[in-house]
Amino acid sequence: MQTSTDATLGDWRHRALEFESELGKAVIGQDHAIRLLAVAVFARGHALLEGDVGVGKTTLLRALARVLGGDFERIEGTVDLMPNDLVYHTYIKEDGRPAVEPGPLLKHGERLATFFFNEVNRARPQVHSLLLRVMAERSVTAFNREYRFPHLQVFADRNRVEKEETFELPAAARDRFLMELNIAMPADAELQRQLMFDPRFYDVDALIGGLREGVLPFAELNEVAAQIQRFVRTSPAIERYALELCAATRAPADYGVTLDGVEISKLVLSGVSPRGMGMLMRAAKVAAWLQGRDALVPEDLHAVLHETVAHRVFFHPVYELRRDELIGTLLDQVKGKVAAP
Amino acid sequence: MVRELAVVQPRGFGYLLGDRFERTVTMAVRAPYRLDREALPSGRLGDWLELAPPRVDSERDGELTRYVIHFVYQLINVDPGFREIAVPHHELVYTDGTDSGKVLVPATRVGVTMLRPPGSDSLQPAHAPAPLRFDPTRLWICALLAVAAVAALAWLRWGLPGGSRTRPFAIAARELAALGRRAVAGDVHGDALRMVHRAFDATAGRTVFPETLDAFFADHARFAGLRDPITLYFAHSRRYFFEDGNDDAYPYAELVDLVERCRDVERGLG
Repeated sequence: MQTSTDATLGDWRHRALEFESELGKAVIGQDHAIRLLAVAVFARGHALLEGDVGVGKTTLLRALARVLGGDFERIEGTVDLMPNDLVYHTYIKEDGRPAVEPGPLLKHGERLATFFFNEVNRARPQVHSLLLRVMAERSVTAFNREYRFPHLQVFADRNRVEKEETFELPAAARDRFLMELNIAMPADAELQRQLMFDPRFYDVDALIGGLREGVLPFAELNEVAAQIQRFVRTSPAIERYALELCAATRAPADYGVTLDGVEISKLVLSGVSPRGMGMLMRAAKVAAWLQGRDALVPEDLHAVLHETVAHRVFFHPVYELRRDELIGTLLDQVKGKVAAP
Repeated sequence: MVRELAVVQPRGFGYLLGDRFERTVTMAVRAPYRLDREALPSGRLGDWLELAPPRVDSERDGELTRYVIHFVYQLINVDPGFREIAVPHHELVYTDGTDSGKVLVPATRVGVTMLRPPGSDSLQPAHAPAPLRFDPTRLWICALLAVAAVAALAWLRWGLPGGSRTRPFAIAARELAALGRRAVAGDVHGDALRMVHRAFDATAGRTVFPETLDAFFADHARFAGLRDPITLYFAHSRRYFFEDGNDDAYPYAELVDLVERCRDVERGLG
């Protein structure tokens, strides 16, 4: 699919800001998350949202699907969900004969733009495995042929409160996500008051229905995303800095990082993978473009560092239980210890 | 012709070296005669006196012109052998252009006195000055004050011994100076900017970015006075390293000046 010739990257940036503005009408106090979702859209990466129950993860993703345009499919993760349930649907027709219909993944064909996997950690590893394939290759094999989804973006959410009857995503699946976003309740008292007393927020369907549809022509996003990656320049200094940031996540002790109560040399089992490094750079370039720059600066890397890197750093089992506490401090220290330029 | 002549002589006694005294002559001349001012005496008169150029006041009274001539003398020399000196006579000339005549102002004498009392050969103080008392304590205090003053000047100039080895901006200033002297090929401007970045990082205890400058100033309020030049430096560094690589807009001297000002702030002098 070709980008329309008269739509420059400047126009696209304008549209991206409109996209953010529309999302902001449905979900208030989540400007940072909205910006990162815009980054994910223009970096063509999948995103995993995590947060407490009822903080607006699903609302945000439904709003995104409407504003993004293209076909939208949603599935709920349950413990008895099997991979086949995503691919096909069998039933007995009225005439008593069995019938097979395409499942949620297949029925939209190439128009499938947003696939929303709700409560992904309730699904079994078999489902995760299928998801892995879909996310990595944007294709699935069924009925002796391969189905392709060139515009597909997977958004998944996971609530962090309940752990019973859940299956933690394997490292390989998490590595496929461009970013993991933490959605928290707005801290601002006025925003909390609006969420509580403004009737607009009581009816989510009406709230989502009031948003403009298809602000971004989804079919052109792949080409625009490639243009953005070519458009944003990287100097030797920023390349060196980005490489060192990633190296510091693998060997924080070498950069003088220290954490309270942690033997730093034994903290990290594996740091950012080469795929993760590429995703960090893709996301950072989009962040720079959204800021109106054509050159990458350290702040762009910082803007997406936590969300693109935190879920790719794996701790020694001794420290894994303290992940939530340690990962933020570790990345903050990495930012503070790696010199730039 | 001369109709009147009156001379008021000065006091006749009690003059010391340097004193001035005046002799006043009043003379009335009938028209068409007038006083010849060019012929009035002035200058050195003998060994003792100096006569200033006389001041002449005149007024018309019918066909008479009345002149009042002020002769001011200064005593410029005295001698123990002379208690009295002569004030010489003067001749006043009047003329109508063709004919002229003279009037004599008679001489007089005045008494002069030496500055020192009569009978003493030389001037001596009444009492010998008291000898200064030698006070070892005061000597020690003065010595200590002198050492402290020298030490304070040395601190202002160089800081504490060894301190510059641990203060980031002192190190940066020294390295910048060395870099300037070497003037080696390569990315000298980039190296200089990096040195200053390391000084900021060491001061903050973490890498400082333009986005974290507010936190830096909040934690290190003593640098707040340099907020504008520091912000300018970070903006330039970003442009140079990450954007267009242009080093024209930021002279090396400005960088050196910034580092020296930061070094002074670091030592509590800013």
